[in-house]
Amino acid sequence: MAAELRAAWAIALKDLRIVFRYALWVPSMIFNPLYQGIIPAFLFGTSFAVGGRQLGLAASIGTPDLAGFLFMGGAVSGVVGVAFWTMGMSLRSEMDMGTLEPSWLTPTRRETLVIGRAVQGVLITGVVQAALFAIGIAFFGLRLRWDALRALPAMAVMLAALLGVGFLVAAMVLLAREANFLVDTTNFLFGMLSGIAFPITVLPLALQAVAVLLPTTWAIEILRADAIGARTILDVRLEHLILVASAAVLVPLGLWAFRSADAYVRVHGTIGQH
Amino acid sequence: MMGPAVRTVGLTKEFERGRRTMWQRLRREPDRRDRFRAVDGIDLEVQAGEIFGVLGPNGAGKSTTLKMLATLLEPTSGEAEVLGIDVRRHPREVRAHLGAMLSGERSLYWKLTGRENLEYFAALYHVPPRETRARIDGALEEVHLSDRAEDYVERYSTGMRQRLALARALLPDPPLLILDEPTLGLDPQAARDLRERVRALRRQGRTVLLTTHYMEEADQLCDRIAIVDHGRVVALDTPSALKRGRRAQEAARLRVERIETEAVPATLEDVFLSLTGSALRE
Repeated sequence: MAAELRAAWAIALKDLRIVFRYALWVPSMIFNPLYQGIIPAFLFGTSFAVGGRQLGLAASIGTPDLAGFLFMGGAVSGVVGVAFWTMGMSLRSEMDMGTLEPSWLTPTRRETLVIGRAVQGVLITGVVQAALFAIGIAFFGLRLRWDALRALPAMAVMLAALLGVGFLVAAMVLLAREANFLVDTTNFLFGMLSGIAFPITVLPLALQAVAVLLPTTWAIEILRADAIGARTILDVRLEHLILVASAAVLVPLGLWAFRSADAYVRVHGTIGQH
Repeated sequence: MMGPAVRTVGLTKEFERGRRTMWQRLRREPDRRDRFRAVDGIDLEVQAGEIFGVLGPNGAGKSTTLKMLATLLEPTSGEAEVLGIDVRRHPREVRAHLGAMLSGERSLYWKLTGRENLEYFAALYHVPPRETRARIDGALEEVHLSDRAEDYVERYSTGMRQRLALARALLPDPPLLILDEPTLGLDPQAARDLRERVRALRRQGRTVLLTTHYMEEADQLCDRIAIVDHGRVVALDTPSALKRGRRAQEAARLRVERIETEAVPATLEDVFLSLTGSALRE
């Protein structure tokens, strides 16, 4: 177990070193979510303000705090990106580079090779989110409340659930190899349907039915409730319960899919192909 | 270690030829792909402490055999044991004791230094932290890269990257190394240096199983050679015995007739072409 933890940390450290050796990667990680998501949504929302107040938003979720609403959604969106891109799709870039095969030749468990990437992704996302919150406070009127810390246990459960999602994506990448479109699309849908940029109550009923199955929907709900005092759709205790249940399903499901994909790859010899 | 370093009995790997589209899968059309045997019942025994070469034309099944031994590929049938460990039942245990160099210079992180690459792989090989530094220093010294350990791999020559890949294979301190075409793409000096490194490994008592396309390399380096064609072992002996054999004499006679000059002894290349033919295999 200790050896596997050291291996996971070595993977994270290796990825962190590579990230920081490409000088423009880190600023791009901060500014991409800003100009691709938060700023357009903030300006769009502001244009519908009445007398400077977000009355529509207040009616929907019980608070007019648009900046808080968007930045909390953005924080969860960053972690969703870790599951899809850092855990799943990075296997693809390792295949391209030719470095996946030698890692696969070591006694480290294949699951650890994916978890190590998640560690790196979560650390980078933490730094990026801190920078984003600082920008939010300086330029968008974001106010962080200490109550937001009450959402930490829910965030931890969400991370576990997203680990399961990351294993599912990694399985998809191992099988499909050219999974760029698939990963991009599912990441977008996962984020959108979780309500990162709007309350899920505005979605058509059929999409709401999908949204309630996603762990991130409930994680965002809980985070917004604690951080900006937003009204939740269900009783917050029930939302916690659903979040835990989704993690309990997604982690074993993801592991099963990943192990099956690994077995398939061993039979068909596609680990070194791209 | 008791017994052979590698033992295979009837080792077989089948693949499908051609592709089955997603549309065919969705329509549940019958799978009409051919199956072919990349490795067709190979029996091998590699003795501890020897350099054993697997020689064969492109597509003969050499790399597939090595990948099954390294547990990257699941055999379709047959048995394979590495250091007495069953590759199908205990793949992680096999990987813990095996040094493998299967894909050369592309298998390294070019944005990391040589030492950082080895630190990363040492952790993946579960090298105890207290031993890591000494193990890495030893491996770097073994491949003559100690003075370039702090340079980014992107600044290395091809030969240096191959040597670093070999150093990585040494990290678990393996009694057995498997090397897939270790000198491919190297200039003569770099190839010669790498061959010298492989000889040094044997002097340390390690077993080396390697594949190569280069007849001279196999001749100079290997204690025994298996010539593989169409997934089967077509000859297995020492290089000198192969060159003295009946097929070698035939090859030499044909050569003499062809060039109408004085008799010259058969080379390993003569034997190889006599056994596997001279047609292209792509």
